[in-house]
Amino acid sequence: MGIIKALLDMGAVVVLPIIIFLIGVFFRLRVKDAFKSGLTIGIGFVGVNLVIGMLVGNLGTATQKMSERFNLNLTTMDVGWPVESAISFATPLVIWVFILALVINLIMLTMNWTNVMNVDLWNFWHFIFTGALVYYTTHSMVLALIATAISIVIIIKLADWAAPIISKYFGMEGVTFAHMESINWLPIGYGINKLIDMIPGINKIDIRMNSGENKNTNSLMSIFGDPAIMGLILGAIIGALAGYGWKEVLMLAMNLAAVMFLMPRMVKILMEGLIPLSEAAQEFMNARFPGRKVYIGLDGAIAIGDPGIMSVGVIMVPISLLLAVILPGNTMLPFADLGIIPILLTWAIIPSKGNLFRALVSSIIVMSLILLIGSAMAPLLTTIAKEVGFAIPEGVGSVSSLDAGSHVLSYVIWKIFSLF
Amino acid sequence: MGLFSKLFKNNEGEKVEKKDVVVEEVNTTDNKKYRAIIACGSGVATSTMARKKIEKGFEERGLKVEITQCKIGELENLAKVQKPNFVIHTVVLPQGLTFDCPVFSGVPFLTGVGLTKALDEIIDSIKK
Repeated sequence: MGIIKALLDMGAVVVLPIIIFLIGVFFRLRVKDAFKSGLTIGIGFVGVNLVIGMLVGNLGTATQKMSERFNLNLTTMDVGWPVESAISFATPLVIWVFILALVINLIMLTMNWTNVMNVDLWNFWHFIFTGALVYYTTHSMVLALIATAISIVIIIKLADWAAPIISKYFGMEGVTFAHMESINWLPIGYGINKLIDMIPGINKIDIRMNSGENKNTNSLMSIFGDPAIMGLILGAIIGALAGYGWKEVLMLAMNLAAVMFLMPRMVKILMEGLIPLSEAAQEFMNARFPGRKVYIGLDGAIAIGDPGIMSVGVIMVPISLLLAVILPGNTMLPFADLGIIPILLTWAIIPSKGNLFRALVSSIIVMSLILLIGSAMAPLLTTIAKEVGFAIPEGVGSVSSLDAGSHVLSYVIWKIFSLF
Repeated sequence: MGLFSKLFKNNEGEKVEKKDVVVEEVNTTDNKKYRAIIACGSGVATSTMARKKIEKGFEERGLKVEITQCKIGELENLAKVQKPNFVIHTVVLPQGLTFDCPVFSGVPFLTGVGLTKALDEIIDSIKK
């Protein structure tokens, strides 16, 4: 037991590679490949940790100075989905959630409760994230795993409902999004659309999205969608608003551009380590349902190229920054996740069926909720990040992300389980 | 660590050598290195998964391929500059983009459904 405790104390950098190695061996990867997978994931962690220190140190001080000068309440940094996923993979829940997600999916398929096969191992971090919120609140592994199981069942059912819509809207057969942060907005997106239908006058407004302007959206997207340029511009703006001198402004802009560029690369290493496992899981599941027609659960980011989603997503970037400043109760300044706003808003936009007015109304409602949920999760996420060994310096405010705020299902489950 | 990395290097070195021998015996003469660009939403997530599977598929067929990853917004310009043999998109392709090379959907490489067929189609079209 002494050795196990010593290992656990070393944190994710050491423990996760061992866990991944064991899971790899279980899925009958060659020992060498399983070892390589574990090692790669460990390296990814070290990389993420390096960049987090840089991001939080630079951005934290600047946003605090800016908030003080303008009397804003923006004490929460948006550190982005890469950090949230790394934090999730660093919790002790990983191995149990992997098993739960596969077993629950297997049972649901066997009993014909679903047609979705979700083997997107990478995005299992969404389920871990739900469990982690409960675990670090209640300190009960059992409650955390019950919460995780509930989120898995709900997401698989949502993916079932979304499958026909996805094949109609995107023309992609046989796939669906078992992707919590986007698909958990499906009921809310359709709900908002129903509400607008009921308001006389407003329900008549129909502004068509102009499909002729795709070229413009593409070039806009390459600026707003380019993390390095976003980091540079926002770094300069935040630095100037914080009252920095020109040298410090340039330094901040350059550092934040570097963070935005480097962070996804680090996460890519994490991902590469998981790919052999993901393939093995896919084979494992496929072998059990030969010939069965199933929808494969994929990352919701597939939808990002859609012109409607892309143009509304781009318009929502400045609106989100404005919302952050004027929305009462919000403490989060959108930053690292600005580039994935189109993905997060997918299901606010799809129900509007090409009506720009409706897409914007529901996007603004959903973005407000994202900001508030992200703010509400910030204190706990900061605690979890520190607990699993990430380099969050003291006194620079709290960390959260737009992506964390998009986990509305995790939030609801967390709040319910906090009552226990 | 030194020992480990040495061990892996040796292993990998051996593997490559063996593969080369097999290629010479079985395969015809295709020593050309194909170039490809693969695009997804962030240039990181799904494009990494698809890239790995395409690389594996090409390697199994004794072909060489070099794949660059990018974001969907960069795909058209990057394709103009790099002039790849083919491009792949794992996300919905925005309308109005034009390419001088064949374009394929990367979805089969994410789901594993129809993967062999998709690979065959790619290879058929670039060998012409």
